[in-house]
Amino acid sequence: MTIQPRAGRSWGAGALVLPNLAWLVLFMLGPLLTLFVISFRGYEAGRGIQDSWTVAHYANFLTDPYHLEILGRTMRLGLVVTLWCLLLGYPLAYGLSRLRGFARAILYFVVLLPLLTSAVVRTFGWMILLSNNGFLNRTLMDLGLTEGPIRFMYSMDGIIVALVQVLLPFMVLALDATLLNIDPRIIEAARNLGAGAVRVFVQITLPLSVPGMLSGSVLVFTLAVSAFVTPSLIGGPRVPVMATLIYQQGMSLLNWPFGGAIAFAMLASVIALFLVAMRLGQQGRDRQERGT
Amino acid sequence: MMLWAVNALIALYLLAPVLVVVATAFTTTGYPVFPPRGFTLRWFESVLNSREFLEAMRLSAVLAAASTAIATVLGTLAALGLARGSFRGRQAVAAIFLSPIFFPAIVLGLALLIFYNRVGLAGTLPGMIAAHAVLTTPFVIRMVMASLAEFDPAVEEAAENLGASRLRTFFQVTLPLIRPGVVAGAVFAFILSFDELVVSLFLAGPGMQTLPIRIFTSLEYSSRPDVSAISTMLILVWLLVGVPLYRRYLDIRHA
Amino acid sequence: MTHDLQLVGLGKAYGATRAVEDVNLAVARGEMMALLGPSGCGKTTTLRMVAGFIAPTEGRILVDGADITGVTANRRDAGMVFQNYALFPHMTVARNVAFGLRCRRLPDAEVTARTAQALEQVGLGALAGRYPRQLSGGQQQRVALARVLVLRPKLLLFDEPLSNLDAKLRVQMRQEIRSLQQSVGITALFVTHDQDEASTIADRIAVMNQGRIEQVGTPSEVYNEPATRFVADFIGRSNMIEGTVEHAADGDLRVRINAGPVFPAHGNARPGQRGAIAVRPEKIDLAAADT
Repeated sequence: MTIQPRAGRSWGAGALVLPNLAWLVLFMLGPLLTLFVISFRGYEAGRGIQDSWTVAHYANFLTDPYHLEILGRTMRLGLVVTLWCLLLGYPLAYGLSRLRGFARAILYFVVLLPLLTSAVVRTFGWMILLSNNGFLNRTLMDLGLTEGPIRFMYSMDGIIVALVQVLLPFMVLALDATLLNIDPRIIEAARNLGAGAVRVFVQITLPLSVPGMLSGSVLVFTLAVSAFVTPSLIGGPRVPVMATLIYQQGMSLLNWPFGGAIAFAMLASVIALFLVAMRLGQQGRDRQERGT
Repeated sequence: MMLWAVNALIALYLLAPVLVVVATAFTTTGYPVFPPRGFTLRWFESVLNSREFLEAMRLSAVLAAASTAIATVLGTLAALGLARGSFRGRQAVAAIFLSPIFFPAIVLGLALLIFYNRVGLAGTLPGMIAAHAVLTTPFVIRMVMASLAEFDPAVEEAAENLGASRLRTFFQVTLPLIRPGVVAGAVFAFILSFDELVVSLFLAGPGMQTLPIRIFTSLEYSSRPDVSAISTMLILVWLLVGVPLYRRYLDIRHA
Repeated sequence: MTHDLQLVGLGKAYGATRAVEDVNLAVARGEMMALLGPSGCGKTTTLRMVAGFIAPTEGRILVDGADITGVTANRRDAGMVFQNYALFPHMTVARNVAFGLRCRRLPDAEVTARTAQALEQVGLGALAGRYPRQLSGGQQQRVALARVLVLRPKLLLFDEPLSNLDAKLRVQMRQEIRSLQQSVGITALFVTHDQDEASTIADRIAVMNQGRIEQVGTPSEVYNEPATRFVADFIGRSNMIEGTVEHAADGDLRVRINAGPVFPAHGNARPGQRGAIAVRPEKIDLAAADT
């Protein structure tokens, strides 16, 4: 969201941001800095954190095959979930953006409702649905679409199914905001010039909604890559992702330096994607301005 | 229309887990099964009689109330400062303020655990309250800023011009006009704090089980309908709180 | 009891940019003075300095000879009518109008009486219980007026209050504001970018450009005797004919224009000065070549 500039008032209203700033420095930036520093500290199993400096933890994470597998799995999870959210979220957002009044309020509430429930509760629901004997499998078998039960629980597929549902509202809200911002008169002009519904969508609506797609994708990817609850409950110890690995290192094994290294590797991937998305967004804007 | 058929399916997909959880809370079987078999209220009874669940609810409520109070104050002041102040780096400060929404909770959880360990806040309630305040303040800020954008800022100048001191201007003009945003933000913050799991897992001390933590740990071992029951109760509370609030205050271009 | 306003060497700089520079203006008791100029000329900045919302970087503001430059905005007693009216949306019309009286902690009876009277004065007595969103633009304008008039302030400040109204309403409100101001006799500053508005509503006009005052005069003076090229160009329409002064005596000039012939003109200039003659279109008569 952007800040609307306001002709500054002469009485330092700006000072009002200080309490929250101080709070964040103390309870967010400070701890993150601590974590970063500690990720370079040596660690010996059984003896705890050492006084030495090392990049071994990062090296370990990025070269050890087991950890690379987890890294790859997590990135794949992020990408797949993001793509599905785009695919499913766009129709919903498109429909939502064209509604008004009561109908829109209802649909908006339906989209918002999953966010009001805890991630644990939603994942629990999926655990029930996805078990071998669960509703989903029984329905699929009854419909004859599959012979034996599909293994959803304790597999990537199950995580994906659940995580897409958990994160879909974020994509829908981001897309909806962008779609609403498209000046309806542009659409009218296109139709006035003879464009049919499909052309209007492909050549006007879709390109103009790209910023929303980008911002929604960045958000969903970030949340998917860092997701803990859903992969933990549905994937279990058999399908570890970076978040569950961090938890294990941090809480069970107390290898904080290594946990910190994984955490910052995760952050790095998120920031990298963010920068790519910004680049794409800027390129898109530049192209529009140059008229190509 | 094709679009609406597709959207109906997607909407169903969105609601599926919630519906399932609520439905299984009434099943007579000893484990959650969907569709539920039979109808009974005994799981609700069991939950309401369970000391652990009630303790967890109490802790979550206290935690949410305290962190919401802090978040509301910090967030309202921050929103006012961002919208009415003029200082360099305003965009940067705004980005920092809103970052907890996007920031991976797992990273924050670990970072706070280590930090708290150094300063002696690990496993304490104040520590958790502080962390929850960090996580929920951005939502208050967003809601209050939305309210601030809805009225002409000149009314504050008009009040001063007519003789009002800054304090009077704030209480008689600004505050009534941002109240919808403040209230909406506070409710949002409360709900999110109540539901929060990941950071809480890192920071909770022994014996400090919030409701989400309780549900999470019980799910790791077994799956019983009383978890469904308590989840249903939660959903009901949020519906009762969220719906009237939604109708009154969240006018997201519905008109 | 009316008051006069003096701006002495008033200036406002933002870093290297001078929004207002060396503004000297004397507004007589009961006078309506217009600040006229294109956008960015500093007229609004000047007005807001008088109101106290902007602190001048140099100069002083005097009311009846007393220096109010350092007085905080809420104590200046200079009622301002804002561009978008700035009515309090959460208060009824009556509470809006009563607001300033309440700030002064006047007794309830007096507040009620004066509020009612002010609403009558602007013809809105029947709408006291309504909310601003239920009123038309013209009605909101009147509430904004009543809100400041009820306080019987020393000065009235107008920040382009009519620019959001349609043409017909603008003309009507212009006259209402003018007659109200005159009947109450309050000294007033009126900021506008519309010349017609300034000419109709004001006793005198201060034409501003790039932070400075180019000329202060009655509407007729500013039109017929523009002091600078900018004023001649900005006010009404002019044909600007470049030339050099050949002969000057007591304000009567002979100017050789670039095309060749010499023309008579008026102005403050010395021989040898280059400039332009401004000729109003209505002053041009066409005649046959042999006359």
